[in-house]
Amino acid sequence: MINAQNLSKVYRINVKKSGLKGALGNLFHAEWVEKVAVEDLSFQMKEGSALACIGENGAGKSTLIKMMIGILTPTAGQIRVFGEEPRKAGNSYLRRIGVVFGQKTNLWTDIPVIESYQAVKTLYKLDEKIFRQNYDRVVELLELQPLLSVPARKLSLGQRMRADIGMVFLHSPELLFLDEPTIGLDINVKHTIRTFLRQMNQETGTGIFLTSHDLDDIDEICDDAIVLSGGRLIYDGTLEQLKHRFVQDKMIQVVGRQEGDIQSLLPLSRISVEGRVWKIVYPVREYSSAEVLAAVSGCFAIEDITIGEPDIDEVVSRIFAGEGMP
Amino acid sequence: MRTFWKLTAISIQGQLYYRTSFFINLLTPLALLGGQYLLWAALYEQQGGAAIGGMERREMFAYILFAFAMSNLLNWAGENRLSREIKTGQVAARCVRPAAFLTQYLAEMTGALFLQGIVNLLVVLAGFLCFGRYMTVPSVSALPAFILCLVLAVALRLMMIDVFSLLCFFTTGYLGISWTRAALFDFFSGAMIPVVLFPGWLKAVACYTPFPYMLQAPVAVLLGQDTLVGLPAVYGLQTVWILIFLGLHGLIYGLARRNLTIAGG
Repeated sequence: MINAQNLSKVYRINVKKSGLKGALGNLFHAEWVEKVAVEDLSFQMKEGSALACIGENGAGKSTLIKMMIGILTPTAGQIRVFGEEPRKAGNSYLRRIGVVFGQKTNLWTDIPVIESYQAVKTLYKLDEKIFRQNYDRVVELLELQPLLSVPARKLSLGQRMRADIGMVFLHSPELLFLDEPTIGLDINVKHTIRTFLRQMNQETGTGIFLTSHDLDDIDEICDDAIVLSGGRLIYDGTLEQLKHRFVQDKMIQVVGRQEGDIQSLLPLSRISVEGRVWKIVYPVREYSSAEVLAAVSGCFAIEDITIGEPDIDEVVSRIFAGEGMP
Repeated sequence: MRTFWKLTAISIQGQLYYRTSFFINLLTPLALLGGQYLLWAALYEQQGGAAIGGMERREMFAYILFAFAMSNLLNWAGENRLSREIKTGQVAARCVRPAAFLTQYLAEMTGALFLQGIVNLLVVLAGFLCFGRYMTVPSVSALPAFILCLVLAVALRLMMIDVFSLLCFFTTGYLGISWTRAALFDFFSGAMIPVVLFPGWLKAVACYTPFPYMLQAPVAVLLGQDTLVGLPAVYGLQTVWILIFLGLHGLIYGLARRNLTIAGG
């Protein structure tokens, strides 16, 4: 579905000198530097999958999306989506994809939402039956009925984003590009949008390429991830593998009676106890889960046991702190 | 064409939904027309009613009425919509719609000038009904030539605004570009002063720019005045300038797509 090979994008940035003297100097002499936004990036995305693009601010996520939708031209390398070069593919390509920018709207702001939806029907040359089917579905799942007669400029941010996400599904896109779709939204709207996107991905097979700083978005919507840092790809794989690669500790919580000395079996672990609840935090590089479970079952008469899953927040903070990267 | 007309309809709807803004945009430029009338009336008074630069008072009053109707076809907000979108990055939404960038722009602008065109036509008709005896009345036989010239003039003006707007991809000072465009248009098109009143050298300069063919030429054709270069040449130059701006559109838009940094990434 997406195939990027050695993709790079370099911007020319006008450097402004500081101070009044510098400002005057800028009038007569412009200084330009090249800023690498994306560097030698190669990755693939399978049809119908949901891929997260993780990266700090300025990592090149938005630039990457804009190259994939054909707005920007790569400086070097090649990108193909559905086997076509987005920049040259034209309207037939745009009819197969959908794009949502979290900080911008695709709705026509001066007219009611329903009019924007009707315009989509014309622009995408949609069959009435398909349009109606998609329309009914998004209106129901995103609870859009009360918003349809309101001009987009009068909607709150959350309402507008729901309307935007609804609109992007009207033409049955095969692939959706979402650039921080839940930015600035409250928890309820975020939940509605995530649930909807996940459902559409699973039921209709719409591929999703998502950039977000909200790690819950990534966790709930995506299965795979790529991580960018300074425009370079530093991880490409499943979200699960990413979590395991960057999580240094795991925790097992045991409820039960102690029958042996767990510390002697797992000397590098940290153990705390509160009543009958034991928390064992162990370094994953030192002990495998099987070893820990064997030790725990030998030392406790277990009534209940919980294995703590690593949190994506922890993963990302470790990535950006530069831990565990080659 | 369905896409074009749908976008035109959206543009018209967008104007109609905001009543106060709609009426303010439509009617406030009438103050400008009043000012123009008073200015020229005072000048002719000073001349004791004699012709100024070869233009009789009746001709001048008809000219300022038609020049007003032509120059006021687009308001400031409509003219600068694309510039603003480029500055804010909202233009990205336009780029991902399955319709040519230029088609979207022309459709929206057609919608924007459609309503204003109707109102301006009513203003012109009302002006002639009330004050026709003080003005040169256009000949019906001039209408076919005028309509063709008008269509080309409007297309040329839209393309000129488009090209100036696209320059905003390369600078953050979109207002500077807009004001430059407005100043060039107002001066060289004859919207403020008829080009025939310019000194010879300035008139010659004006003829080498596209601006007189956006306003002065169609008004002159309608009123039977001097078109500076002859009617066939007017049509030819209008067409050539449209083609030049189309070429510039392709060039600048292509450059922008290669080098562009849209706000936010």
